[in-house]
Amino acid sequence: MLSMSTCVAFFILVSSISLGLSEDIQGGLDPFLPPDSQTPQETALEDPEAREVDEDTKQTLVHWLYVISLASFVAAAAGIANILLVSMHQRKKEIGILRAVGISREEVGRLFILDALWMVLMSFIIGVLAGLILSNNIFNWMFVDGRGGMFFAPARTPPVLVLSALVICLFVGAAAAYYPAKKASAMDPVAALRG
Amino acid sequence: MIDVSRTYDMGTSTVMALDGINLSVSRGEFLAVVGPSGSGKSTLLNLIGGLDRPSEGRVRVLGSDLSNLSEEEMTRFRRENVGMVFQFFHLIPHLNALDNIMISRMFEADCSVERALRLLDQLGLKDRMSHLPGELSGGEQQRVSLARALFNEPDILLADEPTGNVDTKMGSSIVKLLKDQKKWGRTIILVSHDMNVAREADRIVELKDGRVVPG
Repeated sequence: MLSMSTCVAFFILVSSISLGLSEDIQGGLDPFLPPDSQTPQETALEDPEAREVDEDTKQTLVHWLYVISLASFVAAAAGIANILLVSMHQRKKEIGILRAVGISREEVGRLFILDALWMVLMSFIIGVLAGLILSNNIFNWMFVDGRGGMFFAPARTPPVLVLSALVICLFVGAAAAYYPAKKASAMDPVAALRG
Repeated sequence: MIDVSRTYDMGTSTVMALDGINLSVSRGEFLAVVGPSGSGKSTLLNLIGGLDRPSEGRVRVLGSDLSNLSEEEMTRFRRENVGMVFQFFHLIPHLNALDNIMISRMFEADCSVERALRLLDQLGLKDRMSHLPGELSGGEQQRVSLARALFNEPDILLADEPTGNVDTKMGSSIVKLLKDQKKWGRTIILVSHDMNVAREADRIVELKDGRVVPG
């Protein structure tokens, strides 16, 4: 759950920086800069060529951060699948009981998917809160606001970004739960009852 | 049951749990199956209850040939027609007594809480409905298990050593509760190795080495 929350927080942070950066590129520096905040570095970037190189560097950095972010989602999915597999073995008898009282294979599988989605939803809430604090408070305070950082535009977290993080989380959760759910639903009730 | 055999593969060897069983039980009958450990009693119950399928032969219950039912039909058969009581209660530890009773209908919107409460009341457990299994005595857990078995108003009640894990007094009370179900026309099949318990039944069948001992 912690790894999933970290993934969400990281994704929100990277995407928020990326969105801020794209506005920086499209809109130029002026709207974001405090009137008297030009450092020597910023003055140098008024040269269009130097500015292009600088934006390219930032874009590459953000792209790599995206790759790391997506890779960590895959790692989180593996973690969830592992937790569910362990849980399936621990709950073997419970699965046997459910099958004995007339719960179908599909319904047993559905229980495992719901467990995973619940886990993912909790992780999402924690991750989003952490991501918002990281991007809109800590990042903006440390790297923007004219404190000499390398970024000129503040991070931006529109609602659609949070929504897309939710969609990714739900997809990752369902994908991670698929195999454990399939294994749980295929369990022979008599063998499961024996534990 | 007609010429029913059940074998299990145990690595390189094969274990014959039931060997050519022929058995008929009438509707509303209370049958006790006795025999030593490993005689095939639980396997017999699992076959009648639709939890397992025979390796050979046919099992016909309430007009359905269980050998021919699909997995889905078998699940529905269990849910609608069979109630099972186990020696070790087999209650879900993180659900309270009330939720354990209604577990077979957990995916249904019209799950009758009133019926579950009525059962708890009849079995003297109304004040224990919000307790977890770990907070209940062995006898109380077995009564919750019986209430769960009765929740779907099944035609057949299968009890696998229901008194095996409770004291003698509670055991007699559980057998009496099972026997009471006859008045609702339910067929009761009880497995036990305790002859005092078995004597409460209408008929006793003895199993030995997977076969019915001619009596």
